[in-house]
Amino acid sequence: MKLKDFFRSNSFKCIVVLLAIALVCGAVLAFCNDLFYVSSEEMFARSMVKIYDGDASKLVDKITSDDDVRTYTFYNCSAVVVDAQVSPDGKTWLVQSRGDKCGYQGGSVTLWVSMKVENGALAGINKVIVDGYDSSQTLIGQINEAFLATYASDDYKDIVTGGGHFNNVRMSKDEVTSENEIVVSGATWTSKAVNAAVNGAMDYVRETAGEEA
Amino acid sequence: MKNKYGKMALDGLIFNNPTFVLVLGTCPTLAMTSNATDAFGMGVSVLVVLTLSNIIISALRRVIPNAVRIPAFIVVIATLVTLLRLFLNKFIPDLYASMGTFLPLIVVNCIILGRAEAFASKNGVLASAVDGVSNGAGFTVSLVIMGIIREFLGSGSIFGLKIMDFGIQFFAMPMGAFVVYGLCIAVFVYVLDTVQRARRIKRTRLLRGEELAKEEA
Amino acid sequence: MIMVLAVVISAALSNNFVFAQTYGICPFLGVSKKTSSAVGMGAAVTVVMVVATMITYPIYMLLVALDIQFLEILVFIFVIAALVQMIEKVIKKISPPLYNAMGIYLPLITTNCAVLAVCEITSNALVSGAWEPAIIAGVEMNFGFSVLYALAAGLGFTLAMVIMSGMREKINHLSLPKALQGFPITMVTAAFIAMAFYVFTMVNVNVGG
Repeated sequence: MKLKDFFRSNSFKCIVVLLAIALVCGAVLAFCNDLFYVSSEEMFARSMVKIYDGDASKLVDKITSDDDVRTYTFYNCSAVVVDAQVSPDGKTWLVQSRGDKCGYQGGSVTLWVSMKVENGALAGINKVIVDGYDSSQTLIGQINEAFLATYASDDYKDIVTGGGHFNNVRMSKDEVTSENEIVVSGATWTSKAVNAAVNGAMDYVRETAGEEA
Repeated sequence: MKNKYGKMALDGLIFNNPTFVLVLGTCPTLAMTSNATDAFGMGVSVLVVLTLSNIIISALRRVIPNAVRIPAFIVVIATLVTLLRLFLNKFIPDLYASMGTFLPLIVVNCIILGRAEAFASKNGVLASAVDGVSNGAGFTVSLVIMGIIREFLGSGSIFGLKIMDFGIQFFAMPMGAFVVYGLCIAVFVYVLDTVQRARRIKRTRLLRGEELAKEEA
Repeated sequence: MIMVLAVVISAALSNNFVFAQTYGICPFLGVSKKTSSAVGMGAAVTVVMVVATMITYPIYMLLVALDIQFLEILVFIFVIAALVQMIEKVIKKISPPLYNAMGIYLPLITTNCAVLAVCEITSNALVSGAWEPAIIAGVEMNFGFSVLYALAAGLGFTLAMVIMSGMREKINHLSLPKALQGFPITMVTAAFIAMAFYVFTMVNVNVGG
């Protein structure tokens, strides 16, 4: 086949049309990608809106490098404090904490925990929200708002202010004495990861807020 | 002319409902109906992509050579889904997060490629748009029905509003999705069959009546 | 070793693609009427999943490096479509009996959402923001684990297909009300198998705990 014939053939037309469509689509996508770009500041402000009422841009970042990331261990679960933000008056601490390696199948749950700090000591939990989870957490739907609100309730205030930890490990029937037992039946491993994350956030504030005061 | 579009709309919504009659696009139907809000979001996303892809493909149907028709359709659909993804990430991040992997999977939703191949590549722009909207609406309505049933049984609420204080977790999980989907199809097919049979009987009676009238005359 | 076990159990059993995550339902319903065709389809999907993951994982790394992540859906679906064509040609040439066994299912795989789902999950594709590897069953997904995950997910899919086809061969002999025949009874049966698979979520592989 001569070159001239090729340019007239159907296969050449096919290639040209496909290329044209692909190019137009690529160009449209590149344009819209810039148009709909979500900056990291915007992502941060988005997750802050749910947990913090004030102006997110005025928060002070406590964890600026990987060296500041702290890991804690509770009842066979670990918690990693990934991010921490403090309000300008120093009374509200927002801690992003990930419960790890004990969640169902070793999956993880990331939380934002908002805490009250008075005179360099942890004075209570304001609010807990789920920020993210990995794909193996199929039972995450059971960690609902009502369950997360129990962390902030007055029933558990003594644990928070008294330096205690939330625990859901039930050793045996006789040992069910601790009042700090929080667990969602059917989602035990997931709620363990949530507990660990809250504990990690509390310990981080206890350590760090104390150092500053 | 008007009657033709009306018939197409009814076909997509009821008689050839993509979810309950043709059983297409099953993966998002099972995965995204644990609550009515997500189901509605998924349904509308597919409706938008389906309508736009139908319009674009129908407009390009004389340009695209037959041999590369499927790859060309896929490129168009994938572009639309990516656009939708960028849009949701910017403006409706909650829906973006809850749709997760099922958002890019709209590309391989059989309804969209099926309508492109069976309808949009052979018909005009307006007809394709009507076809896209009616099929998308059929999909959305089916998903929302399942979402309402599953959310109510699973957590006692509808569209996030608490109605009763009970919940059977079974229905919020994948096995509940299978059961509800199966029974929805059964009920839909049963009702459709009954209605169509009643219609047929009525029509034959009418015809017979006309024949009798003719004979008498 | 324990990490390998965790990934395999998670992908194949406790997070089974069909019963727990509801991916790939179309072939699951369409090609599960006979056990022989179920095995053929399952094997074909597994092969495509593994090879597709091997290709899309590095490609996604490249997209991230070039900062053009928005092209990901377009690229992935094209890779899968081209791959399916190529595998079909290769199998036809190398082993005609194998081609006869699973060749007819290959063209159906392009629009099988399970394959695209594996690529999306292992590469942890995001629209924007800094990329981080996916974490499945407590294991960070690098290239090796991604391929393993794809293999295990494919085997889990095959298992689901085989179980379902066995059940359907029996169900076909039942006399059921007309409305329940076909898809509805298959769905309800799938629900019961899904309940059985739910037990696997109790298996807890503690990675490095």
